[in-house]
Amino acid sequence: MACLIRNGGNATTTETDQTMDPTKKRVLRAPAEDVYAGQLAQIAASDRDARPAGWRLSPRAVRRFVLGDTTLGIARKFYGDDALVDRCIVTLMSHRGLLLVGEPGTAKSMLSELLAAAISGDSTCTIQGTSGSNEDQIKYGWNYALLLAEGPSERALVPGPMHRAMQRGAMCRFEELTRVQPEIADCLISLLSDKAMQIPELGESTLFAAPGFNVIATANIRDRGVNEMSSALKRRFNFETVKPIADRQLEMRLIREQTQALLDEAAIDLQLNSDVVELLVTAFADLRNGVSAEGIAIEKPTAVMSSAEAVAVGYAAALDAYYFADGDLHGGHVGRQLIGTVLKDEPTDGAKLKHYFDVIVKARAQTQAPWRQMLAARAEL
Amino acid sequence: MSALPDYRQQARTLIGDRAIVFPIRHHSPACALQLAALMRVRPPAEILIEGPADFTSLLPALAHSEARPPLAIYAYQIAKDGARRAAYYPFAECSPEWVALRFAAEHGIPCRFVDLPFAATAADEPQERSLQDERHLQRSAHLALLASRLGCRDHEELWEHLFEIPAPSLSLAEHVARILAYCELARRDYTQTDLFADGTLAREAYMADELQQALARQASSDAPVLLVLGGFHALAVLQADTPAPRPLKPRALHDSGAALIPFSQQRLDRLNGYAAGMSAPGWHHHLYLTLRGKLLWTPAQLRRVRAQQALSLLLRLAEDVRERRALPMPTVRAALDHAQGLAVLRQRGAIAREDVRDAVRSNYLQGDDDLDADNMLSALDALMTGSGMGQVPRDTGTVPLLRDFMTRAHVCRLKLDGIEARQTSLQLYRRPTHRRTSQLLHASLLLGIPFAIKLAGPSIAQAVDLGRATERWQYQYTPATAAAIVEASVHGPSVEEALRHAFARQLDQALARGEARSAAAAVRWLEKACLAGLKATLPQLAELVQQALLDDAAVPSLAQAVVALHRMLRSEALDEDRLTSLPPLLTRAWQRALHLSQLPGASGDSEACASALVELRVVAETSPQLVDRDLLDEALRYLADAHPSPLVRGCAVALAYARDVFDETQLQLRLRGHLAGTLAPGDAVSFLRGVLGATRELAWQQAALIETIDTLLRSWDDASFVHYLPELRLAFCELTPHETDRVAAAVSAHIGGEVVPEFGAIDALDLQRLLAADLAAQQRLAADGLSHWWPA
Repeated sequence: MACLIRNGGNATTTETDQTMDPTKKRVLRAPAEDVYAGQLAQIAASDRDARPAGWRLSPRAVRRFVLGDTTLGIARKFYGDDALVDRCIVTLMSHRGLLLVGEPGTAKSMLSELLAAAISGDSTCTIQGTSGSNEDQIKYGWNYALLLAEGPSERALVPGPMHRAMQRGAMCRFEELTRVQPEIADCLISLLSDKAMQIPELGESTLFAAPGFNVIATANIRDRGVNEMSSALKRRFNFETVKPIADRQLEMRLIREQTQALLDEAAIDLQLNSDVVELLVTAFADLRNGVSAEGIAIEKPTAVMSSAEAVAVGYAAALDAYYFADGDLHGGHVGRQLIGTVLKDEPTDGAKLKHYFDVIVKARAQTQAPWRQMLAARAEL
Repeated sequence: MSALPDYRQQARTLIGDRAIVFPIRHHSPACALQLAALMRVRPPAEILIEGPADFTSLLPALAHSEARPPLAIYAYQIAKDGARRAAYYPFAECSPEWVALRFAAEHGIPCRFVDLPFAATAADEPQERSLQDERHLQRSAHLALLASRLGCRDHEELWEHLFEIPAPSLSLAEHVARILAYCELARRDYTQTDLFADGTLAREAYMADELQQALARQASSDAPVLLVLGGFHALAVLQADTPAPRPLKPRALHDSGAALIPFSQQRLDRLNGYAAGMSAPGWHHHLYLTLRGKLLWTPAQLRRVRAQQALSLLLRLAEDVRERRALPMPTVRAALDHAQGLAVLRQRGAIAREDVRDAVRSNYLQGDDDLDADNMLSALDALMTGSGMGQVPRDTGTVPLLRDFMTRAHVCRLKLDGIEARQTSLQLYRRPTHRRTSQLLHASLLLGIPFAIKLAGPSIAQAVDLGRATERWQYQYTPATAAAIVEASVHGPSVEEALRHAFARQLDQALARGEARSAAAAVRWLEKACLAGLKATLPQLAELVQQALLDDAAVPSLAQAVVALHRMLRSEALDEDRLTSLPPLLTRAWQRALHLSQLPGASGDSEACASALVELRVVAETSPQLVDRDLLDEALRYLADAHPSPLVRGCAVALAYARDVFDETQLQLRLRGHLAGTLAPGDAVSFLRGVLGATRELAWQQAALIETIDTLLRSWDDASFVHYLPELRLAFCELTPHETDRVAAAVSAHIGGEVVPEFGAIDALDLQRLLAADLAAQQRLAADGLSHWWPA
């Protein structure tokens, strides 16, 4: 998936961040605390409010980082629901963990990363949940050579992300919590209620979490949903549902900015015009909501039509136009890439998309040029 | 952008020596508390309140000891040209206007409403609305910007953040300055042209003039004149320099009036919602009750009060949803802490309503279940809205419609003391007075007034013996009845006129929705009008039915129309109008129904068609003088042979026999033809069902029928029998146990054996299952080559 907005309010800040420290090598995707190091420092410098134990910034400062602050020149990074961010920040100050739930592509992981970066200065204490995750990957593992040679010791212990976070008093991120087998996920119950990790191999040793520890988890409702979580585990979390952006204008602005950012990073000199962006956003909104802008009912394809996917389509269309069509980006490029996005593994989606083209796109093609160009892509279906 | 004026300085001018122009927001507890404190410190000589001036006559009723909010003034007017308009002016306990008028009553201070009179304002508005519209605040772009800067979602949250939370701890001067700044900011979004166009300037000029008049009246008094009005208008009214407005020419009115009605908190919430007024009356009400106990509060005390209220709300909510979800104490505690954390994060002095809502969202909801979330949040909203109901004094002025209704009820000897529900039995044919009562009760149903319910109407049997046609009703006069009658005043000042107008409007709406197109629906409307005694509409409705009969091509609908018209002619009183207009309609409907039933494809669903035929036969037998029986006989003869559905054919054959169109031989011919012939078993069974559905006595009277059924059953194999058994059972299901015995006796007589043994406790469904299992077992054995094991 294409990376989301990496440039802060200031494109130059990012570049100087990376080039300032010559010992830091260029990476494909830097963590948020490095990308926004300048902004975080700026906010910390002007932060006069009280900080909870273990937090690098006060809650209001964290809010300013995520939602933007015009007086400091900090750009907004999370769009759509300011109250959600408030609730998340307050939850992280409490004894309960935070579980962000939502459709794929609604920026849950991005929000999780931003919060961890702002609160603890480190968003890399991350557990990636898969159906093969085991407790070693969550809590701690062993260096088996040392273990066999010296027996259990602090040196032989390989701390997992949870261990590191508890020791340091930082945020631990747990992506895709619901992909993990329920039996494995249940190990979190005692960690979250006692805020302590038992390490029986080291004798009577218990690791008590330092202040500032908490867990930010994300869960995708598409695959298995949160139904399989045990109720004991559910009780330890506050659930926040991240919804796709409802405001069309806001979504357009977001997609335009992010796609442009990607193009700038790849050093591609192509400007997106607003017609194409509007076409992209409208097509995505139609297919996501199951009803066109004119009110005609459409069948929703099973593929996820999130804003992140829209950015990916926009970017791919721009690349297509730049390299194969002299930079003349029009509806046809969007249409072609859209087909590739929607048609994944469900054969019925093809019929639904054809229907969309034949009914909605055709009707709009009669009066609007971008849609006419998009209709040309119908041949590819 | 031009520099902002000095709002503090302007606010100081509002609290003068001679005149105090006190800016409020309607239903705001913060404003109510500050106003109460002000009036205690500087008791006014006269109190003026923003509200239509012609409501002043209702002030004694509002000040009555029995009046309890929430209640509302309901005002209506009907112009001579038929234009109608109705509106509400609600009061809550925490409304500053309520506080002001009650203070005036308690201390004997003259008080009046000083806005443009209701009667003088124009417009034919289809929707009833609130007279306390605050959309200027909601639509202000300045306030929206302020809201987003302060991190508030909407103007409601902004208001609570800026006013409801801090106000009880602010001084009067500070509070007034803030409200003025708020409203004046909003005013910057509107040009003078806008304000002229929506009538605001006219209202402000009128109120300014009233203020001057009051000042003149109280010139010799030391105490000030107090004007309580919406903050948006405060400065404009004080600084008004336009000349006194022209005296308003009232419209030519047919009728107008205003009365008090009790209101519920839910209605208040809804009404305020439309008018952009304060929502969640329950939340604000409880806070007000606590806060009015003291004059000045410290911020710490306010924080505690609001936290206490949030906690009790969270506990109540946990209690309410306990059935669906158990919320343990730690969760409630966590929610309260969360709400407090949010209040601190959002830099509020104390917990606001939205903080509680957010806390519920985070802590009480688990998972992505949207339905669960909706249920929880609506339960919370219901608690925040409240469910209280107000009360109005009993013996105050009423509107003409209410007076007329009560007079008529009295004439009909209905008891309106409302102590308990009463029942009455009305003999429609024998007593004209009872007919009048029935019409009044039907009229109340039509007008949507909660007063009476019909327990029983004339039955079919009674339709035959007119002398016994009775209706039974249960009725009780409650405050809701009175309120509904008052609110129906917009239809007219008398029951008859209101009924006529309301009925016409309902009919128009139904026609617009396309609902009265079928014959059955059109006749239902006609019946409604007749029951309610609406004579005037009869010609129009007859016209409607006439048209519907032409347009409608569905036999079942036409048959229903016939039945309804027949019922109207039989069971109701026969008066001149009905005698002339209904019979032609009945004839027409009769002709169309029978004619269409014979057209291919027009008769529709066969079940419906068969029941239609049965009903038409009943009508023919009951009232031979009203309908042409020959037409029916012709149709039956035709349908018995020509209808494509065997069900309908069976029905027609049986009815034709019953009406002597077919004799025995012809009946038996057709029975045999269907049941012993080469028809598919399914069709044969349908035919049988049609026959028995129409005339079940054939089952034990006609030996030929039993004979042919026997032949039919013998011709089937076991699999077919089990397959068609349910439908066969359906054919015989209408028989009573006694009749079933008679059939059983006839069957055993036919097969020459003893009477069929009783099956006792075996359920029919079980029998079916056993038979099917039997068959399956037999087939399995046969497949394994062991059919000789099966008992012969």
